[in-house]
Amino acid sequence: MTDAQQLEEMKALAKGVGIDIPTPFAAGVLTNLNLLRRHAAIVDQADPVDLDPAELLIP
Amino acid sequence: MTLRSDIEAVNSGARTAAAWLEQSLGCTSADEGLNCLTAVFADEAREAAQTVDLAPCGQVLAGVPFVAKDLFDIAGRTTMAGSILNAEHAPAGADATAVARLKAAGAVLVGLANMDEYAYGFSTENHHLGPTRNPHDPTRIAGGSSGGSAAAVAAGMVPISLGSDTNGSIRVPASLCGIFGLKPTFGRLSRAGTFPFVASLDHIGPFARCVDDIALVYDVLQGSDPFDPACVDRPSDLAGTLDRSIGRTFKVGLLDGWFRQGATTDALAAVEKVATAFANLRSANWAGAEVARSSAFCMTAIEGASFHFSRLSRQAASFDPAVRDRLLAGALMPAHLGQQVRRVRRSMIQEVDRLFRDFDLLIAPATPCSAPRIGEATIEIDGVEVPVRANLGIYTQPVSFVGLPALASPVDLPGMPIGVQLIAAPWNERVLLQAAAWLEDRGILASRPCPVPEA
Repeated sequence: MTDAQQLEEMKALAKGVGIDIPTPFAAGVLTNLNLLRRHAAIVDQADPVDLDPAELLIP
Repeated sequence: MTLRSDIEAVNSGARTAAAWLEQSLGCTSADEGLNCLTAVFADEAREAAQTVDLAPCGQVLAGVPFVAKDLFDIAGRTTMAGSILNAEHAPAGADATAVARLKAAGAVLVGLANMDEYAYGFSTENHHLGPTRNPHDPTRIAGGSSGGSAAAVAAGMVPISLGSDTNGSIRVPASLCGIFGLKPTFGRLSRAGTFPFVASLDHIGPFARCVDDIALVYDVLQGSDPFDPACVDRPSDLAGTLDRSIGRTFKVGLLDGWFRQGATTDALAAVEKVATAFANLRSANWAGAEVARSSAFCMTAIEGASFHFSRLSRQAASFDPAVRDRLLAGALMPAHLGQQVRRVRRSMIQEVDRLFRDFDLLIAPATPCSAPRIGEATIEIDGVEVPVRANLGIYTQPVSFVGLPALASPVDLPGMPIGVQLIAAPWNERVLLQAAAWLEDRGILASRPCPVPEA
């Protein structure tokens, strides 16, 4: 994906959650989004235990 | 010399709290060079010191000047948390529990300390208020996000201060400023009246220049609090007068794997110096520490974004750009990730429980390097340039993710300060303090004096 495509994808994602990312901020947010996605990929690969039902009750 | 002799002098009338305060205020007036403080309460502090001098003797912290990170509520004042966005908030109705407990013990609040906006950062380069400079080299950062609190203690403005630690925000600046910083077990100390960042990970704790002082403050801060639902109702575990020799007997694990990757030679030298002092030392492996770190990274972004969501929607331009960009990215992460990191945390808690069957104490670097220069955007870790703000906490994040108590401790080495983390099983803060006291008596841990530089 090109930088421009990534930016468009990110803006669409933001619109979906109800946030507008003004153009001047977009590059900085995208850099951080890519970093966060790298961490998320590490987390997704883990095979953790299930949550204790009691923990699910904590808001 | 520890604080106890100064406190005794105030309690016996040999010294006044007022005189002690004036000494502290004199140092803060030279603060412009370091930018540690965002507010100084000279008049209120003079009144408080006078009250201490008139009070019956015997107060545990009689006359001790202190500062608090600018996210602790102070009655009658808006809690800014390093942000201009909070200026529209109403003033706090009461002091934060931690501040109130210190004041009740006779300590005197001198002012509030600079921080990364909303505590999201490891550098205290606040976009609105400017960077806090490291007292050991003002061209370098103090670390963050509790950088002002750490620098004020390192510079000798005050002997103790309060900070908060979500991912390492007490331990990172303690390491870079060469002082002690305690992050207790999650749920040990009340966070009531502090501006939140990530409720699942937020802790508060003290800074000081020696073990005895940090133990003294820690004891005053303890106690359950109905105003913080995470603060566990369990008996205080008072450090009291520390057994300073028992640390020698501890079974100590030197964390390997993740906790050695990316560390500079300075960081590794600090860890070696501390570890080799213990006779009962073995290597320890925390399986999945990298996953814990990444999970903390994600949990912070997701929960932080959720907390600030309405502000991000309406006033994104008023945020510190570095904080805004990270929070907006967090707002875009999928919901399932939030549950996955909670499952990982449960697994990691089980993993560290297993580790502490074999060890009383674990040792790891506090930071991968000593203080970077102000404005430096990246640091090199394992040959890769990575952002300073996100990576100074690579060794602290797994520890707070599972809520373990940890004491960042300054190692007596030449050059810029760098610290190690002493880490114990949950609720075993006393083990940390005993180990640190033993190391301090051997000259292995020491906080070098560092006067306030000329403004």
